[in-house]
Amino acid sequence: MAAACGLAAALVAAGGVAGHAATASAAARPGLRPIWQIPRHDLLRAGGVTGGGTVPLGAFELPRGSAQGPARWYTVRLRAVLWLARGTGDCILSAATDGATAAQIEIQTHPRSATVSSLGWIQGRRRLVPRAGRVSLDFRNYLQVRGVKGGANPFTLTLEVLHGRCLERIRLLRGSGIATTRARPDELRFLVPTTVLTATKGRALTIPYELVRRGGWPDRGATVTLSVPQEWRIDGSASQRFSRLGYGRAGSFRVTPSTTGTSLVGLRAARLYNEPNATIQVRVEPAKSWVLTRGLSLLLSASLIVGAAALTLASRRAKAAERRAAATDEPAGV
Amino acid sequence: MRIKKRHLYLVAAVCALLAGLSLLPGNVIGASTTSLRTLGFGYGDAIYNYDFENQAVDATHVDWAISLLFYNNANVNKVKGILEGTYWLFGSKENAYLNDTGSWQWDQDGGEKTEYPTCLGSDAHYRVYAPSGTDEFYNPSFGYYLFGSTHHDHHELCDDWYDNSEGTESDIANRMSSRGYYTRYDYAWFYNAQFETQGNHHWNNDGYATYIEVR
Repeated sequence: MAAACGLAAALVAAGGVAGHAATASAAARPGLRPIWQIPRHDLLRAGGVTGGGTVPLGAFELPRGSAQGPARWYTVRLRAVLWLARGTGDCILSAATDGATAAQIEIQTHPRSATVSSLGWIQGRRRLVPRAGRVSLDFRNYLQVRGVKGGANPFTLTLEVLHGRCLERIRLLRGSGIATTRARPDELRFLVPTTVLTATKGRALTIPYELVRRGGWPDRGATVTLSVPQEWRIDGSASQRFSRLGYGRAGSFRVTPSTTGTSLVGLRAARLYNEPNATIQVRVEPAKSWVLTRGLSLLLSASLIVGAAALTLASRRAKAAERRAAATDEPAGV
Repeated sequence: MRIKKRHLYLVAAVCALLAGLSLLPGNVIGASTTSLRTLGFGYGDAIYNYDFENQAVDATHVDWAISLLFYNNANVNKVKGILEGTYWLFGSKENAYLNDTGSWQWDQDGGEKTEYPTCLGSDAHYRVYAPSGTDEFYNPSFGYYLFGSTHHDHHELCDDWYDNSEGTESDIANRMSSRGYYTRYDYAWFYNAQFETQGNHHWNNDGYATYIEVR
């Protein structure tokens, strides 16, 4: 299994539209202990970045000698409501401690839609497509190594407007701040084939995977979910549940592709620690008919045999004709 | 009979021309290296130290050496936005093979260049790479970060040749520095020093990458 699998996306991969529900219980995640919250009066100052710029939002104090990992890890939490602007715009909302960015949320607005995407080591990659003009965020991530030191660690919020206008208003919510955990950043990761899998349209294909766990966070098990192109059939359940992971679990899914060309299938273990996911490329070739596969080769063999027979026959006839001609040309015996 | 012979010569000439043309792209684009290797950046993140012509790890079809690292609060759109006053025209796409915490994946970028391709002109050209799903890596050592390769294009529509990866690296370092971004020119050894000529591909890379902190 290990040989068949290569290392794969633990934290980022294409797709993955995460809902708000996944973040709602973030505060209750095991092992995260809040140590500092952005003061209430500073929360109000966050609104000042709506048009772009940076605002300081207080600072958290740490004892001398504090550092990021390996025993204690510091994380950031950003809870906010964003009112999206109408029109086209591209902005990056970021938060930093000691100038080291640990939260980066890209907001892209279009006349009739918007996307809010983020990448972090607790929730993985997230991409929200808000239906309304308002979106709630609950973002968590491990701080940078440079963002943790003994003494005062200033916390800043920045909105960078790349073009257009993205936000009408920002409201930072209570709970935003710093928490610690003993769990190492990359708790779970998938091992999946790194080479392109080849399949035949209409024939079953096995998708192998291995979910590996470091063991820093409590072993709560995981549900691995498979996503395939819309027309494909999953033979069996699209989810596999492991009540315990230990140091890792292996599994596989069987799918039947119904479209040709190169497609991506996705695996994810959602709502768990760093929410690992992985993508596997599958190249599906059209099913070849019996005539094309065996029929043609049989036809070719038959043609060769017939050809060879015809050649033999022709050469025999030619020899016979030669012999006859030689016989008629022979002078009569004395 | 004479007409037929003339036709044959004509066909042969066209075939020779087509064969020559079919060989030309390999000569123009193809470049090779003996220094291809992976570089680790902690937490399972890694890259190859060259970008590639195709989506295949092949030392005989590399394009340019990776010579830039944007870190802390970098993002593909953001970096391109910072440099867009000078680097404004998209270029042809090349490929980088990246490992984001255990997952090797391809990213493709056309980058940005300073001028339209012409018969007699030259332009500076860079490309930036990060996992395509996010347009950035993250890890606690580098924050949000991405990589880039650099070079110069000359006479692209006529007798084209390509060179000066150090010149474009230095130009980008200067521009970022002048905009107030903390820049460490030729800061880290990326094991991709190369000085030679391969067809119209002129290597002059010192093997050191420039680190630029994006706020």
